Amino acid sequence: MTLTAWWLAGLCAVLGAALLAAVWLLFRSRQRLRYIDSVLADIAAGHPHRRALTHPGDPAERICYRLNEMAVQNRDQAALYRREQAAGRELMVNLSHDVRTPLTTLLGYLDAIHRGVVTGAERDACLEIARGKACELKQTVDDLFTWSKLQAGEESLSLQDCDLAELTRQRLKDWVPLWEESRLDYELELPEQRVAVRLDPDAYGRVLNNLVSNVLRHSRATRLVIRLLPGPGRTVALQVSDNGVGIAPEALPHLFDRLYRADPSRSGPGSGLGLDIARQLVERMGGRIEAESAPGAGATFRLFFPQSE
Amino acid sequence: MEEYLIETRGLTKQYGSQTAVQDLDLRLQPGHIYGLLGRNGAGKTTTMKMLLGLTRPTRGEVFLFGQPLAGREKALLPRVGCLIEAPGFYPNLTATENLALFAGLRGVPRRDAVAYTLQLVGLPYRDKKLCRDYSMGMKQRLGLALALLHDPELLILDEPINGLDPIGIAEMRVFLRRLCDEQGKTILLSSHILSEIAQLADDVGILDRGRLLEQTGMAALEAKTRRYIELKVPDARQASQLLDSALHIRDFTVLDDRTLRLYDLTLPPDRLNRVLYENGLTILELHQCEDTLEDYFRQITGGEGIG
Repeated sequence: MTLTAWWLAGLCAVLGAALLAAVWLLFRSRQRLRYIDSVLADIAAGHPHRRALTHPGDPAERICYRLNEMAVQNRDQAALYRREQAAGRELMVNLSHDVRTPLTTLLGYLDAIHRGVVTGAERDACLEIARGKACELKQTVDDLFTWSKLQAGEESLSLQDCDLAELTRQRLKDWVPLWEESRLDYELELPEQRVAVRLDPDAYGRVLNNLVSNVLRHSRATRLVIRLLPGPGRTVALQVSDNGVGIAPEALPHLFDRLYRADPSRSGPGSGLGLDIARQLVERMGGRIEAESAPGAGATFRLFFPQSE
Repeated sequence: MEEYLIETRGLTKQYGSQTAVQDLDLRLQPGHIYGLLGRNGAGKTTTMKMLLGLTRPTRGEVFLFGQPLAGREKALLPRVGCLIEAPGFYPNLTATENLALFAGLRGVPRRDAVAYTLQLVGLPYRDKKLCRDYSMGMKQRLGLALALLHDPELLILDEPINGLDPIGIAEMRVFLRRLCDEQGKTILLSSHILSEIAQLADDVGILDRGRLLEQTGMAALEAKTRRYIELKVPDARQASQLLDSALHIRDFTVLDDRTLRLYDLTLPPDRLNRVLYENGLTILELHQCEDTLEDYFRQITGGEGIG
């Protein structure tokens, strides 16, 4: 054969091989696409845990990775949704208990009065108790409203330049008579000079009220110390310490979590939302809240706020 | 209604004249942890091997993901991860190298599959230690990593807590539970340790001498293990007569000359005590018991207990 003929034959062979390779690649790509289609069909048919497996060098490699990533995201979101639904249901059950119980007791006292079972001083005492229960109930409902608004991001705080020392003094003034009545030994260490912060005074007042009322209601403490100290970095720390029953170590991580209440019998007053609300308010004002405690050794709550100026 | 992830019909395996597995009708629901409970040699590993196509059944069928396994192994088995006996790692390679090898063979669902899986089981990535220097516990973890490398929907684990210390066992339990609850994986595991199955499984299958004696949800099984009042008396005969005549209680068993078990719990123990005393019977001991899973197992396997 001539040289040209050899060249032509060689060229044909090369072209033939290239053609075969192209056909094979096409076939393989289609095969891979069919595979991905079957995986997607499976996922759509209600098998969300199906994954597409691939190798480096697979024409569909990146598609597979993305597909799987999305499937995982989907799964995690579905799981989150389920958890939130469950938590929401639990919250409803807890709250209905928290509303129903004091309401029932309240009605009990009012029934006794209505039926004339109690008279005179005893009757007056019952009225007082009934009123107290009604107030508790209102607090629970208020808490629920506040909490819902916080969750939905609808609670608006108006931050102002305040003197934390003076603000704290003002708010705690109203508590002094109650402390004296409960024979609680209290100590306040608040500096004379201005401690500049940017807070919503009402929100801060709520948080402080919550911490202080918890001491009265749950801690069975005989001594309460409230201090305003410099904190780490450029922060200021408000510290509320009591010498009461303390908080169990299992409860500490969940303390600022809406559903958790340290008292397992859940028979005490309060909605369990108080500390969660406190945490949310503090965080919205750019601060941090933490708790430290040991059973039998009291508890210390600390609020940290960034100093302004 | 959702299909079963694993279903077997009349699954049987015979080795010559010996029947390892007999007429198994296993059913595994998606998203559950199924504990296959049985003594050593009951047929747990043989069953799992048949489920994975590692050995062919003598009779019966295996269905995975609602499809027959026979003939469809290539399509179905990549969706399964398994840990059976000792995983075959190359002893002269590191963990990362071993996993990378298998990743190349099997395909991976994510670019960083090897790193991710090692982190999941708590082993270091790109560590220089060779597999032959691994402790039993680390080998078990690596085996689990291999099973999870391709993010399978179904896990088949043969005695996953084998060779682990108590802390490792607790960690494995938490880990498997998370895989099921958070990642929606379905897990079939086998064990001869009752307490582990009781703590972990949603469904239980009791395998004895190749036969599936019982297959129920854990909750139903716990309801079955009955509560009773055990009485120790000077004379069981007198006691049983009194129970019948004075209290009209018939639901009891005499265990021996001095011990009875009452299953009828409608009568409070103090009344029981008083009535028997008034009729001249002293009760030496009275306590309320719950039949443990162990007792139940012993009962249905014909008395030899587990282990």
